[in-house]
Amino acid sequence: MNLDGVAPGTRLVTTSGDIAELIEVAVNGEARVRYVEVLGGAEAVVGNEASISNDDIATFDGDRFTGPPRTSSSGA
Amino acid sequence: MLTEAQNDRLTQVGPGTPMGELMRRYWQPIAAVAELKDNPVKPIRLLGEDLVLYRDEGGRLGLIEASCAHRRVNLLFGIPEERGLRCPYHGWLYDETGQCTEMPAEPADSTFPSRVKITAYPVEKLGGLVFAYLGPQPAPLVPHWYPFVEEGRVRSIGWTVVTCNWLQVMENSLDPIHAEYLHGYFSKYALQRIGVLKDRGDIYGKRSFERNPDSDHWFKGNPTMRHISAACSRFEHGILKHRWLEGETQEDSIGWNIGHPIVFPNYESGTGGHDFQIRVPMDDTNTYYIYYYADPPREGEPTEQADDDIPVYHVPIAGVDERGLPIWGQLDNNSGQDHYAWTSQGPRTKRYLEKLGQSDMGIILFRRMLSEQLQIVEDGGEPMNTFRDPATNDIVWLPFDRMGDEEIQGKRAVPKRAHKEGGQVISHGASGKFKPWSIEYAKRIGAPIPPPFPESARTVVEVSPG
Repeated sequence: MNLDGVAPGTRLVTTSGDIAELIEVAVNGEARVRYVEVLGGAEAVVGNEASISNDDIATFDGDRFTGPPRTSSSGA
Repeated sequence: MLTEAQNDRLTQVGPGTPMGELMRRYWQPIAAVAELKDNPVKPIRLLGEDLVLYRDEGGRLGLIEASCAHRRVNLLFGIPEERGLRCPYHGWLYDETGQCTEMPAEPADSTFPSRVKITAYPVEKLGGLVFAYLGPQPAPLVPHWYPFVEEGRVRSIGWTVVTCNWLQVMENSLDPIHAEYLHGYFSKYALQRIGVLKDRGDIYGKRSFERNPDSDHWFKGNPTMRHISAACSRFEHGILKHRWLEGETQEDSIGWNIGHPIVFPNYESGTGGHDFQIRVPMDDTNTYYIYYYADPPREGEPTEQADDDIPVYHVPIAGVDERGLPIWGQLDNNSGQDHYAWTSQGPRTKRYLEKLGQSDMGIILFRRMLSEQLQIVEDGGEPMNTFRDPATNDIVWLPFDRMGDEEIQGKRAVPKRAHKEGGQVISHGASGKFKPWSIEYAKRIGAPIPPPFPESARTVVEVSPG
């Protein structure tokens, strides 16, 4: 997920289903996060910090989970 | 990905398992009432338990454990009496509470029968279905979802057994994007394989499909659904699946703004708007699948149906041939494509090996909801969609994305598919082709009828490592 402009403290949902709070976005695009709810990630522990790829972040937390922008007709 | 233990938690449904306990908080449909007309005893496997459903000669329904308490004979062969089901072996008789009421070979003054009781569960009829409740008492009400109770509809009930775990079937419903590929590009490929199409087009829709002029099959040629955006959101009864499709503005997209309901924990509204696809866990690796339709009547068609008169039909499931290869003639319709996809994930898919992406947000949301509701049950609470107040259960409406703007709560809106197509055609590419009335109608108007469903040598799950 593109994290440009996403503010620190924003709650994000990982592709494992965990909820993590954004701490910062590194220059290489990785996200520094702190886990606040853990559903699936085998290595995730509530309260722990971790660096994860922005590809492993699915969407913003909330009542509506929105998928990535799609440009299907333009193809690969 | 999930851990193996987390996968177990979400998928195992036997007694005492977390998901089994959650599923036992719901009335589960187990049969069509009409099935009992000719065969009054039906074997039932539900949430890992082996049971028999029977209708006795007094008209009472009973759901009791499958094995007689005496010598463990299967009561599937039992004899329905005026009240209860009699074991064929030595004549022990059980009523709908599981109480043994007669032991013909024991002394007449024996108190033995009063001390023998087998497991029994309550059942109720609604909308032509039989529902069972395996959870703690007091049982909640059977939910009056509108397709079950709405007046002025014509009902039919299709069923099949899908040879995989219930969750991979449900997760398909939380995956809007698969329609673009499995029911789009792959579907066109299947049609190409059986000669209906000359060209399947390309996956991105830059080149359209082309019919085979030599094919004698009618094909309506729906364009492939293409998403601009997809999302899933919570609502009071589950999750709404949102689609904003090419050709729509975001503001005018009903699919985006209203959404398509997935009713927690195991129903999806069908595309007709007055129908359900219901996925009942039989055990960890088999799912009883119901296609429940409450269609608008055609002109002059009566809508008064006794439960015993609601048509029941079996939907065939995709398999492979004797070489283990796909049978393409089974894959030309949405149902066949879905069956193939679910079962090819293996009997209980290994979520600890999967790799979800951002477009899997609906699956992620559903797993979160399941986990939340599991926790509620473990904490002694009641999960969502348990109804106890009759005032809130008169008729339970759901939002729906195929209905007219003027009736967004779905009360009298007419789903466009049901009106424009449902029952009007029977063709390759339409899963409704298995409906008996679709076939009858096609014969009457002279529409082409698909050839008989090809025989499978083995199931897909048998050849799929998962």
